[in-house]
Amino acid sequence: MEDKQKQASQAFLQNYHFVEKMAFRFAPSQQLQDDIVQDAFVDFVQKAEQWDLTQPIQPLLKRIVQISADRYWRSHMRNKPENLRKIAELLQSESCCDDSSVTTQEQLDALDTCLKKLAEKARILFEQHYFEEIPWKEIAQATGQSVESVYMAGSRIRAVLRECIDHVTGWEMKRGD
Amino acid sequence: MAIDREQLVLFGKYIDGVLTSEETDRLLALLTERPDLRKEFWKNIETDFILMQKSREIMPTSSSDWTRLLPLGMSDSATRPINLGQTEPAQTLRERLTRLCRFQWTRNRDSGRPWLRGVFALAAALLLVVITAIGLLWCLLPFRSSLPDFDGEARVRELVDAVWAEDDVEFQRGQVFNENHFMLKSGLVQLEMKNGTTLILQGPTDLTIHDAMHAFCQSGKVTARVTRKAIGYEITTPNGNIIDRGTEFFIDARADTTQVAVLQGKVDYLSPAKEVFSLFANEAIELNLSKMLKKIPFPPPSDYIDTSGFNTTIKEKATLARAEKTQEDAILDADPNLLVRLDFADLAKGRIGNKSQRGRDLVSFARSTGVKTTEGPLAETKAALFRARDAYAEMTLPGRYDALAIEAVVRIDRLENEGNTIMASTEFLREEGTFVLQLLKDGRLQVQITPPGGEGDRIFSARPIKTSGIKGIWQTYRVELDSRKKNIRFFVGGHLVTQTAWKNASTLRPGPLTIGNEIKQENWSSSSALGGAISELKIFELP
Repeated sequence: MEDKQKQASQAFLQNYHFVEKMAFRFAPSQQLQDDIVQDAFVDFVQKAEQWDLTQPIQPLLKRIVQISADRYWRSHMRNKPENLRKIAELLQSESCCDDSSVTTQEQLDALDTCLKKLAEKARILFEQHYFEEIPWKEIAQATGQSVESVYMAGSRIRAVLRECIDHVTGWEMKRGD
Repeated sequence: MAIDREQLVLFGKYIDGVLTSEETDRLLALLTERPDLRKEFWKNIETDFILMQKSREIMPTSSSDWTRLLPLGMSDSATRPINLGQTEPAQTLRERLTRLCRFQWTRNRDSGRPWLRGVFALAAALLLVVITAIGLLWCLLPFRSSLPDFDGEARVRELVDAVWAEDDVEFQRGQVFNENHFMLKSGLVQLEMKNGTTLILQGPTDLTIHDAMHAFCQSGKVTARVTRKAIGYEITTPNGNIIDRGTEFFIDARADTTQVAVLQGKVDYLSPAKEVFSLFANEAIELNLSKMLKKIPFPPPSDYIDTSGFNTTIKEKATLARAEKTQEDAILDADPNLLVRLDFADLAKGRIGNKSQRGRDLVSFARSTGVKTTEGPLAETKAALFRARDAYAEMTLPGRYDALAIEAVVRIDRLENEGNTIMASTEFLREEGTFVLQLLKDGRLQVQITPPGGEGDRIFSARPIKTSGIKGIWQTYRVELDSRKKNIRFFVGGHLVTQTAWKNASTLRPGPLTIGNEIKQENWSSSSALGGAISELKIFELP
């Protein structure tokens, strides 16, 4: 049994990025990711005897993650203000419809290329927030800009990076648009 | 697609979790109206997720590490935390600074300079005194106000029953702009400049905002409250300019006269002849077409609203809205088994609302086609009129239920059709099969369940009720389907009319439901369209 569980664990790890991507798709909130992935892992490994690991397991993992994500998402949304819930529902309807075949690893690899193309100022801003984990408000104070300007710049950087990532991965072509 | 500045800011604030209530409303409105923006919003959020993944880099590298990560015995509780080889997260700036400070303190202490402690203590004491002094001065400053925080010259702060002169013009609360022309037909609008100055427009008013310090009032009534930061704020009218010197003032600009009244502080009035007249609190003047300037009694004859009066109006409006909401919530909360309540009160744009708190999570959408609004059974209530042969409303109720009750307040206007369909579904039962709830021409209330394959319709109906009185009369019809008790019960006007055994009862799975008409495959069955109106439709889960 232990061997089967080890195999299941390794299989799960090999598909870790896929699991994370599915978790985010079904519950688009960063706060929930670790819990969902953890639950999915435990569910998957506990029932290792049932799975045929010689077959592709992504459909199975997707289903397991979806069940876990639905549970956390409902619980997470329960106490939110109504309008925030409605925004989250709209977001979830978009995320669930996104059936792109591009893998997270492809996106991460494309990101390396796209970050090099970013303008100097934008790259510094990006590194300060995402790598040094400096909150946007502190960046605004440090640079003497308004908080709104910094939030706007952050969103613009993400939009630019996303356009580049989609172009590099050929996302638009794979999606059939 | 191009995303504008406001939208980018809202995206960023949502991701950071710092949206204010107004901003949340604004974002929801934008996303609801624009599917293209929703896609961009999702992409922005997913990209943030990808960037966070990049920064974390959390994959473990070898199987031997992996076995160490397995929980001790898989029979352990699933809540045992699992370390997936996550690297220690980068320290926040605050943490790094804290450690650095502690290190410095320790270093200074250990380096044998105890006198430094005294220097720090004295500096801290001085700092405390300075902060207290600034705080006291700040409290004493008049016209103290925190400056608004938004990009742009000005924004719309509040609207009270605002109606605009042009049909295609609409402003939203919180909308930011740089320069804009406002033609307010009626109602009240409060604008806020980035320097904190507020203007209250009373319709009808024609006002142009040039920037945070200048406006032109062609006609109408404006009350301005000017902050210290905006002293010198100027409103130009056809009969002269009013330059603020730190105050609240009111103007009433008309074709032939302009009245200016100072509510607090001081203004300078610059006449077309370039003469300057200073006005103080509780003074008012009027300039007429003949360029004659005269003092008029204060308050001026025109009805005006000052800032505190406006704020009271806003509070009253919010209190009323809360009271109405509380009343509605009380009705909905009264029955915890209520899944769906449609009252058809708002048929605008073809949407019908689900008023059930519980069902809000369940009903995925509800809309109508070819359905008109008509008067309901009670005063000030509305109903949906199903007149056309292809009129219908539809909604989807997911989930599986052992027992349901469907209750509708219906008025039949025509009895030509064999059956007046109240509700129908093509997949009502667990194993699929159609369901139709109809009021027949002869007065019978009928439930028709067709199993898969279409063979052997199972029909359950109440005894005929008196038909002489049903035309044009509002009546409540209720059907309870119980798969546990294996029976179907029919109620008319709140009274049990009959009940019948349901031998092959099965779990109910409502799914897509059609109201007011029956769907047979792809074609509408016009012989069973409802010839009448529905005022209210409720679906309950029976305990």
